[in-house]
Amino acid sequence: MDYTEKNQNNPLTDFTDCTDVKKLKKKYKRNRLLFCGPLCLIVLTGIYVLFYYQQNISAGEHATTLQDTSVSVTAQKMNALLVSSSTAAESSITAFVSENSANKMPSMENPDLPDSDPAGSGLESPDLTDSDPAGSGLASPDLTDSDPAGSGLESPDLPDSDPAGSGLESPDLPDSDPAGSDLASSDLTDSDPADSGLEGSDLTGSDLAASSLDYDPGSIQTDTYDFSNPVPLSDAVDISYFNDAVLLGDSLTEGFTYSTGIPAASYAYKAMTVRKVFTKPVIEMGGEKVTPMEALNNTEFAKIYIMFGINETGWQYSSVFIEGYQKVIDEVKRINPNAIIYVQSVLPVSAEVSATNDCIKNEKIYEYNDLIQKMAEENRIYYLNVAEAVAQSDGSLPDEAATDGIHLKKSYYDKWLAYLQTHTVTP
Amino acid sequence: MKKIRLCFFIMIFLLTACGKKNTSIDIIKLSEDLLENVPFTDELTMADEKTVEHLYSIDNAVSEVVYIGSGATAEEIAIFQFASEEDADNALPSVQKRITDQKEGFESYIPIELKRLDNAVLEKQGCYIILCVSDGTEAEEIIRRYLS
Repeated sequence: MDYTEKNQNNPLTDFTDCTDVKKLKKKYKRNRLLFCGPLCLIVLTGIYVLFYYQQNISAGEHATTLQDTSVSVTAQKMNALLVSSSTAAESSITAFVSENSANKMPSMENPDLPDSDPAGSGLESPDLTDSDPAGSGLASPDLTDSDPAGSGLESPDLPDSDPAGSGLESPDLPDSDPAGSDLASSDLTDSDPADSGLEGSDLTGSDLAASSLDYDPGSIQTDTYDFSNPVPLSDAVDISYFNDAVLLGDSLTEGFTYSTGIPAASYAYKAMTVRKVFTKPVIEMGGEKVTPMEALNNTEFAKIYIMFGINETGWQYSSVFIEGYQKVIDEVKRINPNAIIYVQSVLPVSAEVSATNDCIKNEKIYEYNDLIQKMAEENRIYYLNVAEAVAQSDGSLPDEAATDGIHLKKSYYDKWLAYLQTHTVTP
Repeated sequence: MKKIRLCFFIMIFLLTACGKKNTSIDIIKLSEDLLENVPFTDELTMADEKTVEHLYSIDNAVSEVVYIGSGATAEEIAIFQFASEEDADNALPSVQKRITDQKEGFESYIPIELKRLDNAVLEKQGCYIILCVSDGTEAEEIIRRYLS
């Protein structure tokens, strides 16, 4: 190849017409191609490997990359939030104790309510012995129309009406025991209305108390304890007090569990009632769904906190509610005769909800709470007036306590937790 | 020289493609963005680790942020970061089950919440799973912005 000719326009080659120099340049050019290319590839591959490695590590726990920093920041922020949360709970406790010390707690008592009959029908009677005006007591006129206001708290499972007048069946209750256990068959299924307890309008205090004869809640001096009053203020217990506790309830208890992170087993679910707790399999346990009562039967616990009532406010007969509640208590005692049983008052709703919702009325809630307190006394179990922890002076839930006037915001769930921590029967 | 250039471009292409696959997301920032800009009706609060494990049956996430409602609505935010894409793939059915469970729970309770649950945004990309139950399209737009 004639380099002179080929590169005649190249100033460099024109300048150097020495053959050796041309050879050297050619050699240099070839070497540059041979070595620089692969070197570049190796460097790029190295960079890629390093980059990929760091990406993978940062996704784990040991990286020092930006992504790992993000993870650390995440953890720090979460910790900070948890700390602030527990600080808030502590301050709630402190505030609550000081409020109680000064006897400033609003009273939930509403003396004119227990005997009231807003509908004027005379059907309602807080007195259990008179709760069945028809005498049969079988019909579940306890199930009222669904909630037309759409509060959704319950009642899609309740029939809109009972045109046939039988009214016995509640669609939420299966005809048979789906779980096949003796728990669900504890008289709350619809298949045997005669045994369902609906006829229990003759249920008296002594009958209720009789079922608690074998009840022995641990080391507590039940013979001297005054069960007629709510559990009084006590020193705040550590959150670990709830390690061996179970929560049983509806969506309020469910929200309470998740919002506070209370370290208790929780068998709570949306729309749960004193009936469905025996029949509705909604709790996951051992890979299958079981009823809350079945779950309880498979759980070791020393204390149990129960709250029902808000979803039953649409029931026409209060007696049916409290009789159903009594069956829950009976079953809990059967499952664990040594457990400390706390029954909690139903939480009030906002004045607006109470005024506009067809079913959920604070008056009915007060009435239920009176019945629950009476039931607690007769069963010699512990009544917690949790409502006073969240209610304002008129007994209703403050507007700022809940977005829907029913389910509490976190700050109010924390007040509830603080109340439980400061109202215990064991140190 | 042409071969080198070709190799170089292939390398750049590969690097770019993998970079997309391993998108790094600041999950705290994303959750805050969602909280601020999605019109939630309920007050959402951060769930602790135990609650997250209970609700989602996920205990192997490297990092997670879950916000839940008071019980009044089905609104929820859940963002998980896993150590590997395989872990994320394995966890996806658990997140889908959470939506199904919520539908079952609200169906006979507050049926209007089913609309929100049907509108839920669920995205899995690389090591991340992102769920937002809300009204409207704001959540989807925000999440896509972080994933792009």
